[in-house]
Amino acid sequence: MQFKITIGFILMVVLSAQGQGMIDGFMRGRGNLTTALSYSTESYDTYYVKDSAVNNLNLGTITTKSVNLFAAFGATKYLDVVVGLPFVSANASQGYWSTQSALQDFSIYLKGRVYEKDFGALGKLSAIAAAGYIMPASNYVPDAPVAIGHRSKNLEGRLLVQYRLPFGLFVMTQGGYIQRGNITIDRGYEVSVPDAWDYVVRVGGSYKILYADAWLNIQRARSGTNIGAGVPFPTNAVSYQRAGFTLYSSVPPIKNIGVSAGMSFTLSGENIGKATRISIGIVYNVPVIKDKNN
Amino acid sequence: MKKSTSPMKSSNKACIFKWKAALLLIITFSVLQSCDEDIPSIKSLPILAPTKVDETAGNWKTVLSINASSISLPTAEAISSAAYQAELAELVSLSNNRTANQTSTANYWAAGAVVRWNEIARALVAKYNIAPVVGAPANPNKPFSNPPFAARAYALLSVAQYDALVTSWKFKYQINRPAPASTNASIKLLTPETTLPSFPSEHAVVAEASRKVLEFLFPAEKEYLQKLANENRDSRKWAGANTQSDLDAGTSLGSQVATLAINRAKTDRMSQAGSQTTFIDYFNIARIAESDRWISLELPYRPPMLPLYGKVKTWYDSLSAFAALPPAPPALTSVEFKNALQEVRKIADERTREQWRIADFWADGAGTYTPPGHWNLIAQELIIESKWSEVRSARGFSLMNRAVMDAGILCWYSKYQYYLPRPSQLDPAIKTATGIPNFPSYTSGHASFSGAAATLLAYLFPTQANRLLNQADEAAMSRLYGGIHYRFDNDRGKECGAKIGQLAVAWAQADGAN
Repeated sequence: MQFKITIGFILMVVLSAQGQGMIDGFMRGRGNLTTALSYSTESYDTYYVKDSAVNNLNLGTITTKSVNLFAAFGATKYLDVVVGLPFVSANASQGYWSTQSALQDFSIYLKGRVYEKDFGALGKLSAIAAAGYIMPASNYVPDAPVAIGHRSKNLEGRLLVQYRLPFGLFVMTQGGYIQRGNITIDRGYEVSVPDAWDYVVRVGGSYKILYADAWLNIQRARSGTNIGAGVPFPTNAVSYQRAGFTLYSSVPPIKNIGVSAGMSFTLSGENIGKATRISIGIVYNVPVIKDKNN
Repeated sequence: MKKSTSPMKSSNKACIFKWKAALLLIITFSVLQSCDEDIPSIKSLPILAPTKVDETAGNWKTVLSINASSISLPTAEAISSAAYQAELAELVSLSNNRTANQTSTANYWAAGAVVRWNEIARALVAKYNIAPVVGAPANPNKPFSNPPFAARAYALLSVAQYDALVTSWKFKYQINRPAPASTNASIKLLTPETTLPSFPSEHAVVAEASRKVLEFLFPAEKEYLQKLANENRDSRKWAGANTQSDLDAGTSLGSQVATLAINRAKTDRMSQAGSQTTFIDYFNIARIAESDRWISLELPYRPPMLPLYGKVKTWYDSLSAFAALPPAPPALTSVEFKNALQEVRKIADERTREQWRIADFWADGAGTYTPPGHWNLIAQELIIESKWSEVRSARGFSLMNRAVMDAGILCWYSKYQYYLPRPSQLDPAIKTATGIPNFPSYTSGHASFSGAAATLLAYLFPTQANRLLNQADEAAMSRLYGGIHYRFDNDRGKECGAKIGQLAVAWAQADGAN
């Protein structure tokens, strides 16, 4: 039982901090509340115009820093509510574009375990379905070369299958669809932000108070334009392959607190920065109601 | 995997229920996917039903002093002739058997040829508004449709349309062939009935004049433009509005007037406007202390945009136009200048979201139809609302676009005459909400274009005067909010533009259209 809770709250913080969606393969358990605060820094000096890598000396290196607040609550044994809210600041090292800093997007997910099968000593298979709603938390600028997001309202659906092996190991795979609504930009008209398919594969495990995982995330825009002559735009078809890893340790003797660190790398992409990201976080597990059946 | 353990069995029922939830989720997925958020690429506009036919427009003053007797048209066959009766029979057949596609194409063009070709020009400007790679040789097939280029493109297009339409009105009332549906009641008309004589077709006039001018400006679009012109002409037969000989005569007239417009363009000195060597001497840049001179803030260094555009031929009388040339800006060492720079810094440091929005709304930067295009959109909306005839619509665009270009010429002259640094060059801590244009600061192009356009439009649409002048003020201020212009750049630019706008008003008062 301790294993489940530990991994559950680790994952939540690193997932969101690394921008791979907020859904993991573990349930909180009824009455359990997990909160996390993380800090991420991401930078790139190369970006893809369609799939060719370019540099822009008039932007230099673009660095995005974010502080992320998360909470996940086990409403029932089968249902979690997950929320997140980041504050993001983006800055270009060259040129004269103003830094952008604002609350970015508030997200809320309902996450339900729809299937579970215990194979005893051989492990446990579970399937989780999740639906999310993402909305901008401020009126930030979505169409500048230095921007912090698309400012679209999104609906998201995900289906996840996880197999937990003995000895604390697990394999998780998920697929999702992100529907992004149209936005009205400052120029005074509406543009369409492309929808995307999103896939994640993750392997990981824990040993005593330590946890580690490695993951691959693929996102594919369903439609959209290419970056035109150095002008990124919300209609761009953003696709990428990212990989990363996560390390976590609880902080004895306070078993409800843990610290995490993670890195991610953009392997390739279209219409996106070739970014490297580092995240650190602190996780606090608040047991509100103890459910003996869990 | 086949082995099922007891805990599983005990929760079988719950499992089935949850699979339903999964199914629901999958259905949600498909609903998400099928959600139609498409934004139509073609704007639906009302069918033009002019409140006046402007029967005397044949006497209006043309820009290129077109001499109608030098224009040759095919002979208009008599209504009773077998040839014309056969043309009418073709219209009866086409208009009564319109396919859905033909109806939609006919509806599209029925919004007005002038308005539609103006939209097409704006889309082409946006497509070509991409700065070439630094150092790349000029490619005539890929012109950089920056704001000065665009101002000239819109002016050339609307002058060709206007002069061709005025000339066509003269012929229409000389030849006086009634609209086909007035002669043959079996034609199923898609457009409103009209008393406007149909030979030559005003749509064909505009289609061919526009096609030729735009092909001159964007040579690589030749096939696309030809396709549009053909479609424009065909749409008139599907609509039951023009016969083949109406269209042929219109094409011929449009072509002849477009040639005159293109000939003017070939000698307006635009071809030398990009020269990067002669302007240094022409404007005696050496007289300005090196530390006070503009430098490109781009990496790699990009030569300034069209430094001799200030010498391009004006549309309105050049002496009167150049009388509006802005005065010298305050000296860099003056208190006035230091305060102006400090103001830009303060706004950049404390920029509100609304100021950013305004900067962005009027920026009309790379990949857009440019500020002159923005004013064409504003004019188009007013023209559609006013239900003007094709010839009066073209007049409005032509008056405005000539003023916008001339204001641009004076602004560019001033930019290179004074070679004033951008605010961020003097204070690199000034961060911007829009791209820094690659040419000197004084005066603001946006303010100049907007001052000219708003002044002329305020005259044409007096009930909208306040709104238009406020828009021009906001467009000018947007550059200060963006952090790329001093307030005096905007003020002097707008004043100069307004004076050019007054030249356009004077032209409009005397062109015979009032």
